[in-house]
Amino acid sequence: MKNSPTSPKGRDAPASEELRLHAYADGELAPGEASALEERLAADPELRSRYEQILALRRVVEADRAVLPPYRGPRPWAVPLSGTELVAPEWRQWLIPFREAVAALLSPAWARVAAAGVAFLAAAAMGLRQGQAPGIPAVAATSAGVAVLSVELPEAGTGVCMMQVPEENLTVLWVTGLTYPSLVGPGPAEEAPS
Amino acid sequence: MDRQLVQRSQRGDLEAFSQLVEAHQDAMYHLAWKMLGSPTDAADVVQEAFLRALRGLGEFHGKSSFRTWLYRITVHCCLNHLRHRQRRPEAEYFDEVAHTEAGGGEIRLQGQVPRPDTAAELGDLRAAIDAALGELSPGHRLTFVLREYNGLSYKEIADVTGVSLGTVMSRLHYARKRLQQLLVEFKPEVC
Repeated sequence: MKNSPTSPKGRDAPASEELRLHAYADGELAPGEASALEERLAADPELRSRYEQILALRRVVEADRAVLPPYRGPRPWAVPLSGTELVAPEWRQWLIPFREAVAALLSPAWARVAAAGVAFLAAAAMGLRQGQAPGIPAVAATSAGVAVLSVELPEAGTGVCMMQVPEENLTVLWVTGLTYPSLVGPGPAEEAPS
Repeated sequence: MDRQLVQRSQRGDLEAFSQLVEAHQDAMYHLAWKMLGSPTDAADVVQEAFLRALRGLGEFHGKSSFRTWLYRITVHCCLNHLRHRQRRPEAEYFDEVAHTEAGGGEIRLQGQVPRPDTAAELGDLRAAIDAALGELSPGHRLTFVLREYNGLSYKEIADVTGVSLGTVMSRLHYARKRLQQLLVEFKPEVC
């Protein structure tokens, strides 16, 4: 509003003075308008009271906002392309033996085939659990050696399986959105609400 | 800084993308939390939003800032989540949320939406605010949260939500009026 004063339109729009009051509280009022409003605030107790109400609500919200915990959820995007490390320890523990076993058994030429097989088996397992015909509805993206497999499941939402398929290795990077602990293992602990 | 990281990310540098996300993940998480009223749902939505961003990086041409683009994706995911939630019985949903977020049963609001006055009696400011926000329409809630929790300017809110400045101002005014009514019991305590 500093550069482009806006008047609301429509029959039900609140009075522009009220909107200016909110814009002033938000630091969005142009300097000239702000000065004029400050004079009115000093002279009009009722207007001053409404302004104080806006500030009071802000203090209530600020008390909540100031102590909101940071994001501690899964970070599937934070996986280095080398595929040697995973962010969440729980996942690392689950994946390392799997990756080592696959690396030991399969030649690089078979890695891509195995990746496709793992993806298909995961989708098939989920489909069978749901009593659905197995299938792979969508391979959402493949870039930089990373394949993202998306599976839609009735009543279970969307599952996403990220897999890396470099020349010499095979790594399932992340499986998320699924409700099959035996398949995906334990996830990172959630931040407890305060 | 975002621009360079975006360019590196578009070339397949996941470490650069990770840095981008690090810079914005808390803001997106708090937005989702206050839009959905649940930290658990918020974590799911933030995950989905970042995966969408990762997959859609090739279509990001820098017409808006990366931050604005990420906000749009997160808002889209939040609204989608709310639409899916509407398909479930509301009482069942909030019963589950109250149970989960109370650590498994300390505060269980059986068979009802946790009204702000009920939460206030429990002395839980956060629960009261989340419940009060839940009383607003998604559009009013979104505008209020982007302003008060994410600190976006009116112009940025208009860019993210795709509405006019006048609508942003009008929604903000209405949301505050309604929240003042719903949270009146907390004002003396905090002021």
